Amino acid sequence: MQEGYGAGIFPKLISVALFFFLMKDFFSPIKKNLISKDNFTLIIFLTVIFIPLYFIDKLGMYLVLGLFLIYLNHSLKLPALKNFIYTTLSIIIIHLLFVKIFKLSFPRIDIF
Amino acid sequence: MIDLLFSGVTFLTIGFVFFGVAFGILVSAIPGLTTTIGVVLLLPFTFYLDSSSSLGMLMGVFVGGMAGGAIPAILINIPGNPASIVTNINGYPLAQSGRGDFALGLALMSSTLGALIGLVILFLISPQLTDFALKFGAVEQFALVLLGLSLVSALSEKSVIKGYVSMCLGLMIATVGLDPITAIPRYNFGTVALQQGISFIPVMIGMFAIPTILESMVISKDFKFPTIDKNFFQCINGVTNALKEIKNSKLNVIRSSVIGSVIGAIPGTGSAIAATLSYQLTKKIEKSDDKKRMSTQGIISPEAANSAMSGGALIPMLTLGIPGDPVTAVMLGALTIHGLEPGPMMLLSFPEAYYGLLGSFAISIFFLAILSFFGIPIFLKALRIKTKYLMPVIFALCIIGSFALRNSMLDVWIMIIFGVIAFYMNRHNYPILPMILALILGKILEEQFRMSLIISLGDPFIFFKKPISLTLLLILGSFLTVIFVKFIKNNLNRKRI
Repeated sequence: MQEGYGAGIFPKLISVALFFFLMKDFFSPIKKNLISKDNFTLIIFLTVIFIPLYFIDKLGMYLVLGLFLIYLNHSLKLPALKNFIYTTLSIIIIHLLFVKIFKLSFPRIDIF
Repeated sequence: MIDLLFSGVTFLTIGFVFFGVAFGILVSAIPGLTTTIGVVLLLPFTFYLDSSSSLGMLMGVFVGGMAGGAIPAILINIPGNPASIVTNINGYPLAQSGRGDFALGLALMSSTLGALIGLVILFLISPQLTDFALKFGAVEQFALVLLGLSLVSALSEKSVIKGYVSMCLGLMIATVGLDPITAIPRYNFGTVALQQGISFIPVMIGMFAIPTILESMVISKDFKFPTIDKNFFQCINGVTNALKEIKNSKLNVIRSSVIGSVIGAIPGTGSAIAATLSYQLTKKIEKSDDKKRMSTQGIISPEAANSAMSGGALIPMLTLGIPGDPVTAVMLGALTIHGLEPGPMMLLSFPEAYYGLLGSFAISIFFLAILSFFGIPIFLKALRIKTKYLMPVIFALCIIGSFALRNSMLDVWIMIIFGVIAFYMNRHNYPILPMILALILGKILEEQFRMSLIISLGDPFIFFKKPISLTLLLILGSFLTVIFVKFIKNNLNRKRI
C-alpha cells in the first residue's frame, strides 16, 4: 500500500479501460473487409524488408539499405540503370551526411 | 532593459545563432531527427566556444527546431518532431489543394509570432509563472496529462471510442520496459533490449511514414505528394497572404502562445501536449464545422503554441534550475559546462548570461522570420521531385532516423512493425494520433500517478483534494459528459432512422 499499489496497478487500470472501450467496438460488424490484394502485396513488402534486416549484422547497413532502395525503385518501375545510379548516389549521400557529418556508426559487412 | 538584452551579443554570437536556427530547421525537417538530437549533436562544439556563442547557437537550434517540424508535416504528412503532431491534420490537405506555400507561411510565421510572445512572457512575467509552475506537483501533473490525453480522443473525427482504444493501446505500449518507480521489468519477454522500453520516435516515424510509403509503392500506384507549381514570387505572395490571415487571427495566436508558454513552464510536459491542447481549444472555439476557417486556424494554433513553449520551458530552467523539456535539459548541461549555475540566484549572479540568453532568443526569432519567409519557395521545390524518387529516400531516412536514436536495430524493427499496424489502423478508421501521444505521455502519466499514490499512502482521493487537480479533473469530467451525451444521442438518432 505504501508503495502506491506496486508496478502492476497502472497496466491493470489501462487493461480494464481498454476492455470496456473494445467491448463496444469488438461486437460491431466490420464494415470494411480486408482486401486480399493489399495483404498479398504487404506480405511481399515485409518479406523483402525483414529477411535482410534480420541478417544486418552479417550484411551491414549499406548492403541492406541498398537492397531496400533497389526493391523500392524497382516497384516504382524505375529502369535498371537509373535504379542502380540512384541507389548508389543515395548510399553515398547517406554515408557523407550521417557517417561523416553526424558521426553515426552503422553495422558493417561481416560475411567473409 | 532592452540594452541589457543585447549587451553580451557579439557578431560571432549572431553568426552562431544564424547557424543554429538554420541547423534546427534542417534537423527538424528530417523525420526522426528531433530538436533534442540537433542540440545534442552541437553540444560538443560548445566546449570550444565562449558561453555567449554556444548558448546562442543552442537557442537557435531550439527555436528553429520547433518551427522546422511543420515542414515535413505539411508537405509529406510526416511530422518532423512531436511538436508538429497535429499540424499535418490541416496542413497536409491544404498542401494537397495546391496551397502549400500558404500553409507553410501560416505555420512558420505563426511559429515566429508564438516564439516572440513566448519571449515577451519569459521576459516580463517569468517570476509569476514560476510561482504557478511550482504549484504543479505529481498530483497536478497527472491531472494535466490525463486531461490532455482525453482531449486527444476528440481528434478522432469518426469514432470517439476508437480514439480511446487507440489511446489505451498507446498507454499499454508505454508500460513496456522498466517500471519508473521500482525498476521492475515489465512486458520485455525476458530480453534486455526491451528493458529500455519502446521509444516514441521510431513509433512516430513508422506510424506516419510507412502507411504513406505502402500506399504509394505497394497499394495505389497513382499516389502522389502534393506538387505546387509556383515560381519564387508566387510563393512569396502565398506567404504574404498567410501573414494577412495571421493578422486576422490575432486572438488565436495570442491564446495559443499563452497556452504554449504556460504548458512549457510546467516541467515534464513538453511541446506535443502544448500543441495538442491549444489545437483542441481552437477547435472548440472556432467551431470545427467551419472547415475553411479551421483549415487555417488548425495550423496557426499548434505552431504558435509549440514555439511559445520554448520561451515557457526556459522559465523553470533559468529561474529554478529545473529543465522544462529535454532540449532545456541539454541547455542546462551547456550552462554548467561554462560555469553558470541556473537557479533562483542566476539573475543576480550572472546577469550578462541571463540577459544574453534572452538576447540570443530574440535574434533567433528574427532569423527564423527571415529564413521562413525566403526559405518557403526552396522547401516547396523539394516537392517537385517525383514521388518515385522521393519515396525510397524517405524510407532510407526513416530507417536511419530510427537507428540513429540509440544506435539500435531494435528501433528499426519497431518502426516497421508499428508502420504496418498503422496501415491497418488507417484501413479500419482507428486514429493513430492518440496512440502516439499516449506513448509519449504514458511514462509521465504513470510516474506522476504512482508518485501521487505513494505521497498519499495509497489514498486515490488525493486527486480530488488539491484545488488545481480538482479543477482539471472537473474540466475532464464535463468534457467526457458532453461526449457521452453526444454519443447516446447519435445512437438514438441512428436507431430511429
